[in-house]
Amino acid sequence: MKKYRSFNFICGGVFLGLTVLLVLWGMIHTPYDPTAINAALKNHAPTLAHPFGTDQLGRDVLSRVMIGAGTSFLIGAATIVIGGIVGTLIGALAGFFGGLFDTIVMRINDSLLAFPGILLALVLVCIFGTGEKNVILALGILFIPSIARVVRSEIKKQVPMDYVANAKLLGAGKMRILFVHILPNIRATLLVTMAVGFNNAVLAEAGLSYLGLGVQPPKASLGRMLSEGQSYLRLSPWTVLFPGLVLALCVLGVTLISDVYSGNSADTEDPVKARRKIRRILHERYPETDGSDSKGEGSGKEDAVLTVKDLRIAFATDTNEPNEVVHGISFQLKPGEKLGIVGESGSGKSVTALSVMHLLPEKGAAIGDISVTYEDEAGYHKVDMSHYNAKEMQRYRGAEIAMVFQEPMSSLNPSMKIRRQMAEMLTHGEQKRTREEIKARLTEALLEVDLQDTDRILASYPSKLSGGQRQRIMIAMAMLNHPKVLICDEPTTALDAETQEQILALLERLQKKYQTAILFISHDLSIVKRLCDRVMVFHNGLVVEEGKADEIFEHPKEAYMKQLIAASEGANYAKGMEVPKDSEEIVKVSHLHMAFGRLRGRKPLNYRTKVLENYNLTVRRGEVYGIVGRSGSGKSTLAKCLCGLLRPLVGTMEIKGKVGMVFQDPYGSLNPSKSVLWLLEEPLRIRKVPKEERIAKAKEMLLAIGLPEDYGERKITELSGGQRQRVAIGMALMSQPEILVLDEPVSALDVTVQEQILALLAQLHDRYHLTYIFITHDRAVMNRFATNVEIW
Amino acid sequence: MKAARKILSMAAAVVVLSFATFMAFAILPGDAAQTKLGTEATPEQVEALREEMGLNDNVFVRYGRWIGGVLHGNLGTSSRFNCPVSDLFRQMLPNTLLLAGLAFVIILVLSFPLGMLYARYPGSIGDRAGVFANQTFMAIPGFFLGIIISVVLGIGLKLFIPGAFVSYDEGLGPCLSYLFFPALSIAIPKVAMTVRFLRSALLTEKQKEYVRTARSKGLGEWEIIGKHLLPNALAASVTFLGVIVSEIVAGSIVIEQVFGVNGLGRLLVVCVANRDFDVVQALVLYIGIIVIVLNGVIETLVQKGGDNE
Repeated sequence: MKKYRSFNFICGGVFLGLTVLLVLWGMIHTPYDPTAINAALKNHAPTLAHPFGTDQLGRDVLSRVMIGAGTSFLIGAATIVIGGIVGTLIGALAGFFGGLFDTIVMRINDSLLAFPGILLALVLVCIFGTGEKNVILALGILFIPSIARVVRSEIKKQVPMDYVANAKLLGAGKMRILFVHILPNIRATLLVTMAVGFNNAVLAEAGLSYLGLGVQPPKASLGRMLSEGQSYLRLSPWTVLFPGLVLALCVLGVTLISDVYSGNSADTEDPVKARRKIRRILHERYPETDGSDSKGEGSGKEDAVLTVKDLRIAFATDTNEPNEVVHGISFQLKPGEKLGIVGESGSGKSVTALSVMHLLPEKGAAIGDISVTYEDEAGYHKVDMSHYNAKEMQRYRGAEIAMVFQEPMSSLNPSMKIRRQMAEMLTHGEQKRTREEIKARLTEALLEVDLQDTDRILASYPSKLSGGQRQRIMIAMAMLNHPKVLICDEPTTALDAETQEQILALLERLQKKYQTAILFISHDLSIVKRLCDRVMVFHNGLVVEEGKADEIFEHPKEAYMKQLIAASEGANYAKGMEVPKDSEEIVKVSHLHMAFGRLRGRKPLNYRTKVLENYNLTVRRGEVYGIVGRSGSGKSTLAKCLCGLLRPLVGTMEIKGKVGMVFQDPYGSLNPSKSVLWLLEEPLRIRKVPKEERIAKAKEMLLAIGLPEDYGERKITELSGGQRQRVAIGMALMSQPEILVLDEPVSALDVTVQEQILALLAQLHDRYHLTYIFITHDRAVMNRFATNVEIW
Repeated sequence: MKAARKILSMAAAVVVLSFATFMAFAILPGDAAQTKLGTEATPEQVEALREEMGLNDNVFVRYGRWIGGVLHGNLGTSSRFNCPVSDLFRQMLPNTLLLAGLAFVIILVLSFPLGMLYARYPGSIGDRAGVFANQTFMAIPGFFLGIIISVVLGIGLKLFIPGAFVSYDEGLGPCLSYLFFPALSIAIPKVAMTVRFLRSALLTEKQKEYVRTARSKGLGEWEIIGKHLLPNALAASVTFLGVIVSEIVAGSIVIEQVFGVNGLGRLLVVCVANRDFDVVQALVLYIGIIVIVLNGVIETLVQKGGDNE
């Protein structure tokens, strides 16, 4: 592991090791009696016999430091044991159960935490009296609130995660969920908090003893030694220096080590240097692409507005070899052209777009030639982007090339009004604009993207606007300076079908009006087919096929593109699955109402956020019942109702059979601290099935879900998304359900992986005679998988 | 409406605090009468004094009497100094406030530019050295730092005379110029804490996607840090600023002792050592009120700045 070799970790280890050694040595044997007064040896400077010198009473400072440091360690350790146990318990219970207990505990906690620690310690010492035991008691009590708060907030973060819901669904009891499923996931945070608590206790004890209120003489304590030595500073500075240094060394050691775990350490690589290094290695690997034909501005007209040549992109790894993800891509974008890039995630399409803007993530770097050419009133320009430094890039970003990103939710600054965010785009060029001019320009731009309520929108924060509105704003902002090139990185992926359609129409219109060249990146073939003139197909960092859009989609040449098209059209699984005719009704839901939010007023049904209203559902045994709905339409709420995670507000549910569930995000629904086999066994473990039988069944399931046998021992974090979803399905099946609720089980996966999981689900349906309730937003998937579709 | 609720909740906190403080001292094993008379006194004498001091009354009655006195400016009598507690406060409070204020200013002035600088060049040599220095300064106990400062700057460079404190009423200028050094000792570890917090808050913000948007608009890195990252990082640091305030108060208790500053911290230590309960009780209430009010003010200020999610 790299982190154990970091400079900070080694330093911390050495510092802490030295002090521990000193303490252990002192426990076995001290060179002199630490309390023996010797009038003949007053204030002697350090010598071989007394390496740390002697103090004003002739006592050996080294021996006293050993005993004093031992006291510090003892008090620190005792404090974290007392505070750690009580605090963890209180925090865990408060965080897990919530409610009144939580409110009361946290109120008390927060007021205690707002108070200066040493003041409370003083009060407690005043009450209990001085001395070692009382100091431990006081500091231990003091530590409880801070650890309780950390544990509570960590647990609160874990509770809404799908893996907790999953465990609940499988029948795990509350205490089992809390201690077996949740607590292991907060171990790292807990350890770091303990380390901080240890340090605080050591420092507080030293402070109290310095004030004369902690450990009492003649027992040695580092704080006490400092206060005694302070009066003899001129005469014998070593009596202060050594105890102080040992104290600092111990605390620093603990901090340095714990920082490695908390990720607070600065031991990250310098991104500037890392980039330079990657570029150097890439140039060594490919000496011919050394930017040889980079010409200055103005030479030789070209008809392409954007030219990319031999672009290679690599990312830093833990080893010395950077991981190359794009292997020498070249393409040209003509003025007014709409060029599409399609490919699965990881094919290098997004990083290609980002590298054109010099916006690669910190650990990535690119080599190759990127140039932008265009003509305006001032004449013909050719800008060689690949050789521009960050400062010069700023002139072109936003002015000549602009970009629209995938997530309109997170791409805008949440704490800045739209007006300011848009106005930042108008700082390009010499021209100074007045407030009114800026406002007029922004209003015009918003109207152009069909946003009517311009005054309100300009004065809003992003959170007040819908996803579609935000994406329109992003587009309006990108088009403010009428750039020559607009790069769209999956601009419609995060939006629902209807909004998607509108945004595409908008892009087409703006493109026609301003003759902007568009580089459009998407994994969705149908969108690219509709919008683009020309298409490039990316696969593993290479362009595998390129050509006119119609040609490529109608007559794909390469096998990969054929595969992609097949996946996007997809096999019809619905026909392949066995569905018994006229079977019994296995699920019958009638008049279901679901609502969230606070109950206000007297008419509860009117005053809450309604999610489901008077909903009816009938599913027959063996069916694959599909429900298609937009995000936010209450699909997931229904899923949770069906498997009993939520209780309906009004309505009846008759379910004849055990219900299992597969969640959308396999990264959230599986406990990250466990192994594959552990997870598969868990449903049986809860049911107290003997160990041998449990393991045998889990191994059988491993094969049934199509994973190799040796995957059982792997940590879930080592698996890919598709493999995780297989485990999630297997885990749901281990409790032998008859009905499986599938909540968007393939939406988080790549198209080709999606196909594999659908095939697996179809196969398992027949093998275990299951009934599926399949919930998704993707109508295409539903049409070929479900035997019965309901559209919301 | 919001302000009214805030004030109400702060008032409630003060009431709870005062009661908790009073109760803590009321359940003490060694009571005030015994302490006053010493171990030589006969049980009858103690009993008589208890009656006289009203210690035999119900706890709530005694609390009522005490809080009534506090509201009228009567904080009780110090057994150690034999004078009203309020006189002691009048004498020492301004020194402590000056010290704490000075420390706060030093922290603000030093930590913001440093935190932004580190966040601008993460992973660079300067950043690494800076973070290491930070951790070192956080590990040094305040009083040890105070001693080092009085040796190096006081005895060594003769910038001030350690121990020769000038109280505020003997001259504000000399008082402040002396207080600069203890304030520095309080501030340095807190600067380290604040810089570390700011650095990591800024770096967390820097990972967010809106930063990429800002870059795609052609903004410079410093512009992004100042206009985009800092306001967001500040909104996340409400509780942290509260911690700093109470850390300053905590730091001043010990540092006053190191530099011989005649302030509330030193008074507190003397009175705890002598079990002078009236003074300790009043001091806890006082410091508690300061912390509660300052926290409330900071919270409102920062919320005003970043209240839009």
